[in-house]
Amino acid sequence: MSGSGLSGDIKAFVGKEVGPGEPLTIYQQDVERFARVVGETAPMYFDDEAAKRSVFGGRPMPLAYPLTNFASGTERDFNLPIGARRRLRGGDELILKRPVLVGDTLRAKTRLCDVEEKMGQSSKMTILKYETEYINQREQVCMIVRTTIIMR
Amino acid sequence: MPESRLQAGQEIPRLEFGPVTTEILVRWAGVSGDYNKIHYDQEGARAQGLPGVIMHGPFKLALLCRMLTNWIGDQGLIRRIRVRYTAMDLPGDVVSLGGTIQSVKEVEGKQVVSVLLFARNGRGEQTVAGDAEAEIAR
Repeated sequence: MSGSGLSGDIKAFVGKEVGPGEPLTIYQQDVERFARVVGETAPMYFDDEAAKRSVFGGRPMPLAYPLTNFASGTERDFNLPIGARRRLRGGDELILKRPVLVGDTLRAKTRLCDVEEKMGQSSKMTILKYETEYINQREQVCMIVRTTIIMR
Repeated sequence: MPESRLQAGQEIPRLEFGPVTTEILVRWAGVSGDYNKIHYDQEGARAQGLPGVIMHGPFKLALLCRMLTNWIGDQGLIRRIRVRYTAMDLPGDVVSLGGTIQSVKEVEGKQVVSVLLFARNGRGEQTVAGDAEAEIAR
């Protein structure tokens, strides 16, 4: 825990976990829509035979798909008492433990790892770091996502 | 699968995306579920002290994944990717994405490739800095 001067109310949230939340099933049409918007051209996202020949053995979920598609799995789940008008994403790290395929159902479990306050150029900012595990229907951890959010 | 023999220092094929429009940001909001006003509502974005709507960070991450996926092919997978969003991409920007191989290792019959990544906006600013590790079956 870093960030001296944090209110005790916020400090108390560090290390807390929420979830697993509501499940999200990965549907073929959602993956295709996502892939089209990103401009993906890899046949494995659109064609079953190409997907079977791929290293995934089926249609894979694009890696960035779950980041914001879950109703849960963000720092918002903690209802932190931070009065900030702007919320920006500072960074993400995605770690693939097991491929996720169309038809899988994931749930997200999130832990608040750190809260830090810093003085920016013009105002104070609060930096939140949290880690989300995505767990499939076989209770296997498929992905770990580490996210930094900046509130100011 | 990359055609040439992989080695540190090689650049991977770049991706250019854009120009970014508010419409494409709305489409991204639809498929990603990220409806933060700063990405589609000019007034909402300005009220938060921004110059106007800005591109979503995870959209740029998804574009880097697309670039890597196109490069490693269907016998490769991205094991890890890490990014920092260092500046904003705005409507009108053409986002230029690229990367350079840092190292190549052989692990259990697979090539494990580490890559440094970047994205730049139309004004020459680096807007994403990152790195990734991919496995390619031989």
